[in-house]
Amino acid sequence: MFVIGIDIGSLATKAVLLNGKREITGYIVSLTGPDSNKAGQMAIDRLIKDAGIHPEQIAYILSTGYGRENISISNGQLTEITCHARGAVYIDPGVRTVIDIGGQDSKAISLNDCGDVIKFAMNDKCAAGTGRFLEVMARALEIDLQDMGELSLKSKQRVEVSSMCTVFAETEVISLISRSIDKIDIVAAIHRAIASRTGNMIENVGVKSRVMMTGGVAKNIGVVHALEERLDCKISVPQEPQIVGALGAAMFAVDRATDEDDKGSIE
Amino acid sequence: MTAGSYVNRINTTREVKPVIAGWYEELRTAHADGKFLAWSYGPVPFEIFRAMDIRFEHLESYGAYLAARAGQEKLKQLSESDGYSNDICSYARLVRGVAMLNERGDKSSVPGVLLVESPDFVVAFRQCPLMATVYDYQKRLFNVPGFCIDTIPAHSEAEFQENLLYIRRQLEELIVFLEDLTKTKFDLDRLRQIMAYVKEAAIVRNLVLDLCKTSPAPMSVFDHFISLGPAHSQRGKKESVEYWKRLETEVKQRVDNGIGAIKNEKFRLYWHNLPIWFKVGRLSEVLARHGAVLVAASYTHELFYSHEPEKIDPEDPLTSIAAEEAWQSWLAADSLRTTEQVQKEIEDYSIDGMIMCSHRTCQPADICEYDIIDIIGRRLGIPGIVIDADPTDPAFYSDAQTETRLQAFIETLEAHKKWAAAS
Ligand code: SF4
Repeated sequence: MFVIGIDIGSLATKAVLLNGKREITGYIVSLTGPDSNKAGQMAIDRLIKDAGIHPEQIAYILSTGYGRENISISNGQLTEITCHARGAVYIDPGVRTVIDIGGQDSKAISLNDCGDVIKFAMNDKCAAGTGRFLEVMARALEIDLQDMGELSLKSKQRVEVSSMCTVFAETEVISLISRSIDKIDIVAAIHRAIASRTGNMIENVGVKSRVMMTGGVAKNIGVVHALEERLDCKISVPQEPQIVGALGAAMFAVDRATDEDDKGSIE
Repeated sequence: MTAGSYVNRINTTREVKPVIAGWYEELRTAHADGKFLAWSYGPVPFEIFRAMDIRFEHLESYGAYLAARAGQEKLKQLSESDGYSNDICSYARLVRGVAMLNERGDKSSVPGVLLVESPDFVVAFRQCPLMATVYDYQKRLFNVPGFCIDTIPAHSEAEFQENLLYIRRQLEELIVFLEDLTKTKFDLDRLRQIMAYVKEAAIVRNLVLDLCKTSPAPMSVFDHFISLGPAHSQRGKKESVEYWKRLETEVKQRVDNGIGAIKNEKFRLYWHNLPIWFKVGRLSEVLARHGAVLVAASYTHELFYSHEPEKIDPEDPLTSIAAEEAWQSWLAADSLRTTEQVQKEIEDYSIDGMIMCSHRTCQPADICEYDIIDIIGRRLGIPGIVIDADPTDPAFYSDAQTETRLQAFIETLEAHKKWAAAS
C-alpha cells in the first residue's frame, strides 16, 4: 500500500509518497502555475511513474495548502497548519515550535508534548516577510534569490531596511543602492527586517524549544540566522524543508487508509 | 436545506428581505410622502424618531445593506475621490458615496443601490470618534441642523449610572430640538406604547437566544445576523413582536425535533465583533462543512436591548432608552466588562472556541482581541482565533486565508477533543 500527501502552495506544489510503513518512497517539488488542479495531477503522475508503481496501489491521497480544495483526485484535505506540525514532529519528535515561511504566507505553530497544535498564527493579507518579498528584493538588487542567504553571512556593516511593506521596502533598497551601500549589507538588512516582522508573529504563539523552520524560505540561511538572533534560540532546518507539509499530509493519509473510523474526520 | 448545503436555514428569516426593501423604499420616498428624514450615526434613539413619525437612515445599518449590493465598489471609489482614505470606516465611506450622488442629483449611475434622500437633520451618538466626525462633516455638508448625544466612557457600575442620567438629560433636549424642527408636539404616550413593544420583542428575542443553548443549536448566529434587520427597522412596532414570536415557534419546533442549524454539529463557536456583512452566507457554509456552528456572538447577544429587557419600564421610556445606550457605551469602553460578558456567554452556550473578527477599518472595536483570547483561555481553557476582515470592504478580506485559518482552528479543536478523550 502507498499513500500520497500533496501540498499545493501558491508558488510550489510538493508531493510525498509513503509506503505502508510510513517510509518516504519518493517526493517531488514543482511549480504550481495558474492551474492548481493540473499542477497537482502532474506532480502525482510523476511521483507514481518515478516510483515505478501503479496508480491502483495508491490507497489515499490527502491534499493540503491553499490549493487543497481544488484538486479533484484528492480523497480528503487538511490545512497546512495541521500538516506542517505533523511533518515536523515526524522528522523530530522533540519539536515544539514550527516556523513555516512559504511563497506568500508565513505561519508559526506551537505544539504540545503530544505533537498536537495548541496555537498558531498566520501573516495577514500582505506578502511582507514571505518568499515573494525576498523575490522582489532580489530583483531590485539584481542578484539570484538562491545566493541571498550565503551572501548575507558576509555582511560587515549594519544598515537598516525599516519598512516591511513590499513596495516601500523596494524603494528603500533602491535608495540604499544609489547611496553605494554594499549589496551584501543590504541583503543582511532585508533578512533582519523579515526576522523582525515574523518574530513578532512567532512570539505571539510563544517560542518553545526545539524550534524547526520549514518552507522554501528555510533554505535561506541568512533568514534562519536572523531569526535565531531575533528569537534568541537555535532553529533547526530539515534537509528538505519544502516538503514538510506534504509529508505531514502523507502521514494523515496513512492513518486514514488504515483506520476506517478516521476517514471521515475533519473533512 | 438547499442541495449540497450543510446549513439548515431558518424559514422565518426569509421574511426579512421584503421588510428591509420596504424600509428603504420608505426612506427613498420620505420627502414625497411629506415626512421628515434624519440621517443618524451610532446607537441613537430610534424610538423617539418613531414616536414623532420621523423617518431615519442609520449609518451602520445602511452600510451593512449597501455592502451586499453590486454598486458598493463605486460608492467607495466616489468617497475616496473626495478624500476619504480607505482606512476610514467602510460604513462611512459607503454612505459618503450616497451623499455625493445626492449632491450631484445623480440617481442612476450606480445601479442596484437604493439611494436614501438627503436628510433634513442629522443625529449622532458620540460612541466612536469616527461617528462624531462623520456627523460633524455631514451636518456642514448638507447644511442642516444636528444634534449629537455625548457619552462618558464608563468603567464601573457607578459610572454607568452617571452616564445613564447624563444621556437621559440629553434625550430630553433632543426632544425639544425635534419639536422645534418639526413643529410637532412630542407625544409621550406614543413613546410609551413604542417602548412596550420594544420590551415585548426583546423578551421574546431573548427566549429565542436561550433556545440556542441546546445542542444541536437550532439557530446559528448567521440567522441572528439576518434577524437584526427587523430588530432594527421594525423596532418599537407590533410587527417586530410578531416576527420574534413566529421565529420562536419555529426554533422551538426545531428543539423539540432535534433539528440543528447545521447538518452535523461537532463544535460550538462564539463570534466576537461586527459581522462581515458580505460573507454571511459563505462563512456559514464554510463552518458548517467542518461541523462547526456559531451559537452566540457579542454583537447579537449584547446589543439590541438583549441586556435585561425585563427591566425596561414603558412608563419611563427615556430612562430605559438611556439605559440601553449607556450599556452599549460601557461595553465599547471597558474591555474587561466585555470580557466578563464574553465569558458568561461562553459558559451559558457551551462554547468550544472563539472567533475574534478584527476589522481593518473599525479601529474602535478592533482592540483587545488577543487579550480576550488570553484571559478566556486561562480562565476556561477555551481557545480562540483572530481573523482579519472588514464589515463591508472586500479589499481587506481574503476567502482563502480566512477559510484556512478557520479550518485549521477547527482541526485544532478536533485534535484537542481526541486528546482529551484519550487521556
Ligand atoms: S469605525 Fe467602527 S464603531 Fe465607528 S462607526 Fe465605523 S464600524 Fe462603527
